[in-house]
Amino acid sequence: MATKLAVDAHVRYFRMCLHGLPHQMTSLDAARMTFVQLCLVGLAALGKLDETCSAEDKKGMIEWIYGQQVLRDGTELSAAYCGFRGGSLFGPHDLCDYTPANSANVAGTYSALCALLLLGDDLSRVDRPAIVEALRCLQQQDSGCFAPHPGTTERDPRFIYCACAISAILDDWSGVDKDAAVKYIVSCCNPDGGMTQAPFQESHGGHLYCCVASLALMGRLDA
Amino acid sequence: MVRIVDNDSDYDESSSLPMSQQEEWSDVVPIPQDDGKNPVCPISYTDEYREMTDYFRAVMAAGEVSQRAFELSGRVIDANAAHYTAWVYRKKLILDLGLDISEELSWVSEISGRHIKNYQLWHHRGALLALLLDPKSLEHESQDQRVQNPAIRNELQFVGEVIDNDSKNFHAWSHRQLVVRSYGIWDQEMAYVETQINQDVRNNSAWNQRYFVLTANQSADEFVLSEEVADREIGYAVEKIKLAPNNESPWSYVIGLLARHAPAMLYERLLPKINELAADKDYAIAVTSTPFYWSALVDIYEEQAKALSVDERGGVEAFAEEACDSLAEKYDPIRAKYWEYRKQALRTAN
Repeated sequence: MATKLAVDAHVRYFRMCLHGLPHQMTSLDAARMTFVQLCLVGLAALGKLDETCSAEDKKGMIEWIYGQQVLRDGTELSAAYCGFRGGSLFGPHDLCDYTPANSANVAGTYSALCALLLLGDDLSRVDRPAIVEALRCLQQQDSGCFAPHPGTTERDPRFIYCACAISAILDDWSGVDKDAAVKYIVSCCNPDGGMTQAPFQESHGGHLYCCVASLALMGRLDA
Repeated sequence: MVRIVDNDSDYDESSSLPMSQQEEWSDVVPIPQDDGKNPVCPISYTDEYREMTDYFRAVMAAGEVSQRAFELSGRVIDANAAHYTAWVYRKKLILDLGLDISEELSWVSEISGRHIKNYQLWHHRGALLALLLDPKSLEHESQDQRVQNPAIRNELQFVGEVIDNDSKNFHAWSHRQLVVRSYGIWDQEMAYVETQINQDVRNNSAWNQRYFVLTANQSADEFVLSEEVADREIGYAVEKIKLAPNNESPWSYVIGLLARHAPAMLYERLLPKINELAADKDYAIAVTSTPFYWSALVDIYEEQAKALSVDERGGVEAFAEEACDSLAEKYDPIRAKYWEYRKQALRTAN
């Protein structure tokens, strides 16, 4: 039985994924940005990122990531859609009359920012005010939780975590009402000691992580 | 009827003419994907998916409202159910075209077998239900009557089938909570929970649902755990513990319920029952060799100590600390550091 981490095998895997994924992974098409982030995180954690990705590779990846940025178009409507898309599935920005078609989502934005930082980008091309405004639009008035993008009833701690991570990276919390978010997170504490996605639902490790990490990022672990 | 298929199986594109050769689409200029010069993690799409999404990009970008756009959205979603903007567009088309919501629910049921854990699918279903059936329209009906409502019956049947296939599908249980809460059908849910627990006493999702049914029907400030209900729930949990003592669910259920809503009952009402179990020759060994028994004692004694004066609490705290030691050394050694932490917490609570 192996007792050492097979570093080379993992590096090969991440490099292979960055190069391309088989069609069986089509269901990841709207979340490619997160997959990119995970590959880069994996390589970085193994201390192999620079060895695996040349300066030119990194530059190319940075360009692709920025290609997914949704910028303000001057209308009020567009604010909530800004940030980074999960991939290029949605179509060229300049050919779109129907704003929701080209929507960013908070997971895409979070993953893009992490990936850019790992690639050594200085985030100078990131439209920070647009992202902060999008977060403000996506935090729900009634509950304090976050939706991932406009037009969906989805809202849960995954997106609170994305919003908090984004705010921490941009060092700008004006898009997040921390008190409201904390209140929602606290309501997700279960009697069994676990945490969940919405009050009364079953305790779930993934949401527990998102809740606790969000509190930590907001400096509110004492809540 | 929901038929669950292996998530890895290829999406089955029925063989038909490419869209570029279909008369219906001849007026649309498909928009190819612009993946830039250096795509990262590019996917080797099938030709069918590539073409489908080229045309879909075109109609969605134009905000086209039509039956063909609606049907195309369905094919795209079935090929990639996490296409988040496709769901938004589809919902808009349903409303703009005035399409039949029940038929849409049937379509969701039909594709759900391939996407049974997809968040967007379940949320779409919840949104459709709200459009189909306004809770206010059932205000004057009894719970029995509401359960007979065709839309509600349909939902319960659908989600029941999903749970039959996978008794821990998080989305399914969450959807049940939505239906129960929206239409106030609490009584049937308790019966459903008991059936599920009878089928599998280890199903934590069902135990969680029991807590929901018991307490969620009123606001957090309003719910009061009566002695009668507490005794009933303690009795129920103990009965299920006897079936499988090394099953965490009934232990964490009953301790969680009492700790949150009536902490004194932990030592006033639950502790005597646990002690009875530990003294019962038919159950003593099985029960006292589980980490859950000892963990329960830590929780109960910790709570009991809080209610005693500084002079009185020493003995009880000693019991709790002994239980922590037993856990760290024998019954739950993998969490030795946690039990040490609990022991320290007991001491600093003085």
